[in-house]
Amino acid sequence: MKFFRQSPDQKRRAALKTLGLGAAVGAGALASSANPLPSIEVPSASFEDNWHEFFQQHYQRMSPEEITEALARLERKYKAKYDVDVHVGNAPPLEGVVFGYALNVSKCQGYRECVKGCTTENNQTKDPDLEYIRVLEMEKGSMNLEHGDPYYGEEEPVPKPGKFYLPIQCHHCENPPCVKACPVKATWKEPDGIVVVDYNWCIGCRMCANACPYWARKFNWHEPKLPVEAINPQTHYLGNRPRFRGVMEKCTFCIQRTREGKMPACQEACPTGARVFGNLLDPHSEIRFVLENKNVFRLKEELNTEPKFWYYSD
Amino acid sequence: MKGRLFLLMLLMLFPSLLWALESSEIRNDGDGVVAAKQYDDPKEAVARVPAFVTDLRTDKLVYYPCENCHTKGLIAPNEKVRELTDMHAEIQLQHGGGRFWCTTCHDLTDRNYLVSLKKQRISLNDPYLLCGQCHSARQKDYFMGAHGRRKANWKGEKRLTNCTECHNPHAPKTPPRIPRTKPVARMGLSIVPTEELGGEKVWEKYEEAKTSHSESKKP
Amino acid sequence: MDLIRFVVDCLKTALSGGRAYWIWIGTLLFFISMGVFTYANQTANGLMVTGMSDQVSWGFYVSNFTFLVGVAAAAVMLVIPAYIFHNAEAKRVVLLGEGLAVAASLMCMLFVAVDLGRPDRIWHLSPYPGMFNWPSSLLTWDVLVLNGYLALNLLIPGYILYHTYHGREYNKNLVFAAAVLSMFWAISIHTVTAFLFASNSARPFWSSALVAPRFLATAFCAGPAFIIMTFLIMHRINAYKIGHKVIDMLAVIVAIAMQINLIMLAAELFVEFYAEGQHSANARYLFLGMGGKHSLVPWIWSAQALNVGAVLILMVEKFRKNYYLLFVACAMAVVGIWIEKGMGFVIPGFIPTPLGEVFEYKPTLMEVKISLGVLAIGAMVFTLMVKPLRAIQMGILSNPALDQRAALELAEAREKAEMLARIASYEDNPEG
Repeated sequence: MKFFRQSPDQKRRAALKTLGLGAAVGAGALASSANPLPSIEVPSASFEDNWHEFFQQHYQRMSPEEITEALARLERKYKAKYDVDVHVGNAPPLEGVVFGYALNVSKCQGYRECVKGCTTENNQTKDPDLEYIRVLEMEKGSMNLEHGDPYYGEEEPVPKPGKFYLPIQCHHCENPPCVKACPVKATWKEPDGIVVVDYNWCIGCRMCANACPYWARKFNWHEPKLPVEAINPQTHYLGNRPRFRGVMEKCTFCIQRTREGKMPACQEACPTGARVFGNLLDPHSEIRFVLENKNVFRLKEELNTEPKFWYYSD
Repeated sequence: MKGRLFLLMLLMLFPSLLWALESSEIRNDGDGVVAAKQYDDPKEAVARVPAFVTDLRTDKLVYYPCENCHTKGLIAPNEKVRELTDMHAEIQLQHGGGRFWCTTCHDLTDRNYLVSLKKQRISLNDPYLLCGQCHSARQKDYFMGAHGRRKANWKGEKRLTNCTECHNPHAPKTPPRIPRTKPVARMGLSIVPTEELGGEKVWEKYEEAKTSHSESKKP
Repeated sequence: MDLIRFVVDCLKTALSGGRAYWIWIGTLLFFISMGVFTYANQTANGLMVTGMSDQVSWGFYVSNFTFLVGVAAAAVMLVIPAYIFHNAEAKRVVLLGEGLAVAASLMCMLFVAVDLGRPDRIWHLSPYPGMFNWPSSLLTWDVLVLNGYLALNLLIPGYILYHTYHGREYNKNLVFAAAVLSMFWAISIHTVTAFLFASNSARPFWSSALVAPRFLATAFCAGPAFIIMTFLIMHRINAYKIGHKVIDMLAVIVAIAMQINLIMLAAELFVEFYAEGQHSANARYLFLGMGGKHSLVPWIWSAQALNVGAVLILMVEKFRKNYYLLFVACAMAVVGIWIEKGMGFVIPGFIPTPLGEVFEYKPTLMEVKISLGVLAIGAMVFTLMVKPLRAIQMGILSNPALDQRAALELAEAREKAEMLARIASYEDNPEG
């Protein structure tokens, strides 16, 4: 049996908690006396939960017990808000795995099926949808993104003659400028290479959005509108759990799926097979075959961000 | 009739040479050498590639088993190239530039099977063995993961989409379709389309300059 | 005990005044409450009430922040002559300049705070108990330097006033050391703010080595111009007597800084447009418009016209010495730089986006209201600080327990020294 001494950090948090509990009880009594009538509305998260959420520490600073508590608290919160049993997972990165993605630009037809698959999976705000993937309709013979049109219409069939299509999402850089820019370390690179955001720690300053050369980060400008029937209840703390107003979010390579060995939703949704996903450290993986046998390129490589998202053509 | 048969035989003897004339993919293979490898046994193609499985195809085929009509004496085998009217009229063969007929890929004697160019039987569940006879570069990409799509997982058992899940073998070219809805700006804001998106291509500019130049030369 | 009496007396002075004073305070309170209510709306609905979007993720707030950092930094243009060169006239008004720096840095922080999506989590932005991504995140640097600058500019005048109030001489060496520190600090707040933008290699318009020097040039132009305007107004309404020499000195600083700024602008324009590449797209959008969209074009050209107009007036000594013209020139410089460094620098950095989309931004009425509220808070803080400052400096306010005779002697001595200084300055400059 091992004994751990409480670190000063933990002590302080314990103290904060007792303080918070006391205040919560007091305020709770006050609230109940002020409003004796039973509420018939959908119950919102309890005051105590809100209080603990307020003082919740950074994901990487929480002890395993605190994380378990936080996950349970989130599940209660979502239950109260959406009346759906959402499972908030916490799967750790797999050993010996670094994820990579490759996209075949000669295969991509611009159907935007990946965009749809992504929004179905990731609990983004709906109507208008917040989208992680941007598909640019590009002029053949040019890689100038400024001449790319992300708003090509739903009326005309694709692919149009003389155009090719370039989907862009978070490139999960090895040297991510967004992580450098965040003032509170609310975003970081996990050991499996996925750049994640702690939605409970982000202060919403949008420094990361300015730093990203791929325009991959999207902000919750309002309280997310997530219809109950659109909720995907299988979530991850660092992934697709429903977000809050005023925080940043982005593609996580579907961390809730990929850490369990599944494919990201965009790869599954793509009808053309343009998307290749896998473990960069496995020499027999499909992604490694593509990187070693195809002519690949990366966007804005001159910025030294080292994206783990490649484009190739055959 | 004889001439046609002769052509068919020639086709069987030098298939790669003939098809290379049409398929740019084959022509562009690597160092410019036509390379559609014909194995003695079609299964050889998968002998040295990572193990994978595909979903069964036969239980999804409407007319399968084909032998119900074709080999139980109902219809006599007929190799003649003709327009199909009584059955299979929906099939518009747009593959191989008019050099194919049903029996190029379907076994004449046992319609439950496909057939290789060397006349070995190939299961209807393994069309990738058949397609790879000509599309060998694609086949290699398919086995290694750069063509086609791995289903469901990135680790564990490798399950691939079969060629026929995306391509209609009788008309393999995918027709254009309507895309999904276009992106919208966040709530409260709307996108005004930009007019001047997309520049001229270099050659278009060049053409323009040439025409304007020649016009100005005219008196 | 002494400190409490000092604070109470200062507050008393700050809260006493004539009718005009209370009307002024009332106006400010109106704007502040308007800002507060609008901000409450913004916190309830989210930043959706602003014109910002994923395409243009910073807007009017950060633009004002950028401009005000310059104003705050400009106090150093009085600190240097006052504490380092012991210029008597500058010394008389240096406390005002520092008061302005306090108000400006406070407004800067408020502008950053109202721009946050989660203001309730602002405590995360601290080394403890939050998490501070220092030194890699430039925003943490900005938090540090702004707070430090605010503290410096509160402590130096506070310390001096406290001693004057008690009729004592302050420790000159200590103030000298603090002044030297605040000198470098002033440069640092603006450099750090420039790096906040320049560190984003994803945004070619910002990612230029010239951003920091240009920020300094504009700061030492808009800041002193703003101080001149404040001084001229205060002089006019008899709130505070300002020496001519200080104003003349500041006017020269504005003229020089504006010239440097225009040179750097020309250099930037040359690089952007001589060999125009993809990285010049933002500059093209700003100055010429792009993809049929050009809402910033009239703004930036009027800003440049104002800047050039201001520099033309300020370059001629006769015009510069005419305080009406000087006021006009300073107003032109302030407005010109406010446009150029606020909306004309922050917004085009986002247009087109890194993916080449041209999506425009226009501040909403709510953003303007909140910004007015923040500016009113700044004006309020400045007013409340100037009142006791003036009273103490003029000898009206002092510790009642003070030996009256000694105090009188000290006041007389100070008056005499000031008079001598003024005479000396007239001798230097017989026309003034």
